[in-house]
Amino acid sequence: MDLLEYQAKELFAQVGLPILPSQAIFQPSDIKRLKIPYPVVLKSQVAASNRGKAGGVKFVDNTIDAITAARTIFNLTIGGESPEVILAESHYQSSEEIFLAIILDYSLQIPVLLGSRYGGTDIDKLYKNLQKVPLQEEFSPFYARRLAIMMGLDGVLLVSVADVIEKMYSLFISQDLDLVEINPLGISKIGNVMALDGKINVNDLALPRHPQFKQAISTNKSIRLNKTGNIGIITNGWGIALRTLDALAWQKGTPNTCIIVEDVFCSHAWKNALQELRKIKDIKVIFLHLIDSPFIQEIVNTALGKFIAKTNVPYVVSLFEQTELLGTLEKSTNFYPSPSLDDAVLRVVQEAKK
Amino acid sequence: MKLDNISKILVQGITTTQGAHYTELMLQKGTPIVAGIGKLGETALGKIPIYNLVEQAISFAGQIDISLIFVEGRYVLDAALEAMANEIKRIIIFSTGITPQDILQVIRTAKRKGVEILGPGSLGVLIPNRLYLGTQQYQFYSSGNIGVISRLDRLMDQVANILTQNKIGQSFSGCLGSERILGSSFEKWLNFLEHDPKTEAILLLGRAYGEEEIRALQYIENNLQKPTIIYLAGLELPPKRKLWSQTSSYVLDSSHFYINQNLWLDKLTTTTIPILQSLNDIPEFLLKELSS
Repeated sequence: MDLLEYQAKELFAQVGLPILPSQAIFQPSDIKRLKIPYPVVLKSQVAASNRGKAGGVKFVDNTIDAITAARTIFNLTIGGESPEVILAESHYQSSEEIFLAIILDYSLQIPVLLGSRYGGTDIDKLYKNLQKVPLQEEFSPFYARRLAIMMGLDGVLLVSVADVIEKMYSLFISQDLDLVEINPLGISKIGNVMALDGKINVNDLALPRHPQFKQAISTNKSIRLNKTGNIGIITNGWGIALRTLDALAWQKGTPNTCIIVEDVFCSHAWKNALQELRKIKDIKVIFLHLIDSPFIQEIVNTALGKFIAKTNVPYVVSLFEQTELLGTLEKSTNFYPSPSLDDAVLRVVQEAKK
Repeated sequence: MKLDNISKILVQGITTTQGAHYTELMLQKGTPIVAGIGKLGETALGKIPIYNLVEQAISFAGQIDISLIFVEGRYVLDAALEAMANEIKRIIIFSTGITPQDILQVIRTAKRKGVEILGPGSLGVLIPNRLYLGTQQYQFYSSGNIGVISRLDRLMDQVANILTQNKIGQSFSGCLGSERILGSSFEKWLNFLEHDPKTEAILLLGRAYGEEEIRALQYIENNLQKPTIIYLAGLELPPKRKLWSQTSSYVLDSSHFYINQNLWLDKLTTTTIPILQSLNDIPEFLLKELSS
């Protein structure tokens, strides 16, 4: 789960990372109760990148301008997303801006500290100057100092940047993060540092441990493929999912989303998968493809049978490889049990074209 | 992971739906499960006693050879640490939904203590007529000379079914697991199969564009004498990356992801190891490799 900037900054504040005075604005009239002195910057709280270029960031000098700007930002859609919150923040004069991040590198199976002397939006320059410190052992502050030195920092700045990295790491571990990023970290003329923008990604599996992130928790995993695709898929494993997607690609089918149910014993997981696909308007046909024992297929039958018959779901093509058990599902009219993968895929693609 | 001398097996999470279900199936096939760890209040599953602590199970049954973990994802770290604290040296994790930081802690501790981990999200290992430590559908497997190692969860059952229908038996089937961070690697099991006297040819089932698979392919080319074929699922999909922030995705992509992808496309065209894209082609290719 991606946190928005203002949520990320709340976490920054908890561990003592330097942030500017700021206030979350939920409607334009909140501006009247602003406690930060002007000039302020108003920032749209959306997950999309490039919100500055899209007009989601505005500098204002007084209340009248601020209310107008807030109205504009609330009505502005960026990357298909309209903000529910605007962050009002003091202005900061940086003489330099750097990039810092800690990311879980899945291929190395360890966290990696990242830093670039050139932060901000010029990604090419940022990347050309990128330094990496993989954490081969347990974190200790010398890794943070090593990164700061590799970035070419020294003196007081070395100490304060190393301190920022140390605090970022404590968040990384305590909140189960996949990513914590400060870009840019502003540095003032006298060498003070300030986290001006931040990104945090909480590992979805860890959400039950962190009830402060109010989020509907689903045990299912989804692969989102094509926003305009018209086929939804439900399977019970990554291998089956990938094979199904290969087979659909050969027949020029356009899958939208594939849901993988891992907790196959839980009937709610199956219902949730179907519910989630129902919400996607473009999906015209659902392909239910399972490989498992009759025991599991009985659970699926019970969970989905009545549900499909009673509610308005798209046409369902099912393939239960290895068993012929059907039961309640069979009685539904918009349901087609298929005998083989080839047959199922042809039927799915055909129905999707209607 | 050595698979000999397994006479005492513990099931951690024996009172979960999955744990109970698969324990019964394994017992039916003669798997020597001697005790289980479960929730307070339940004292037995059939004839298998249930304890609250691993040390209690050991004082009843003696030292455990291997533990099978079925607890919910968030309890896996605790279960694995408890098994390792009690000197259990082999662990198979069937559970899914474990956070990366938890599984990394399990793997670090295992390395330090010389413990072997299979999973998480594994279907276990199966040697037809000899050893059934898993959640596979037993009836699809048959005894023979093909060693199968997989990262494609239930698809392994389907492949076994196809092989058995074509009268091709298996010397071994093992599943690395379905999660992104795994306790074991293809290389370890390929090495095991290379030295397994019952195995005459090897079948690897993997994910297209995976890092584990590219390392496995290099290992096969450089180290294996036995004929080996690979099935990859997902070759038709664009390699997908997780979108974090724009900057960090860019950084990650540029640092290793794209290199691997190029490496993959390069490998796919140059390797002499047969790489198949359809399950139905597997029997024909295996028979060809075995006869040559």
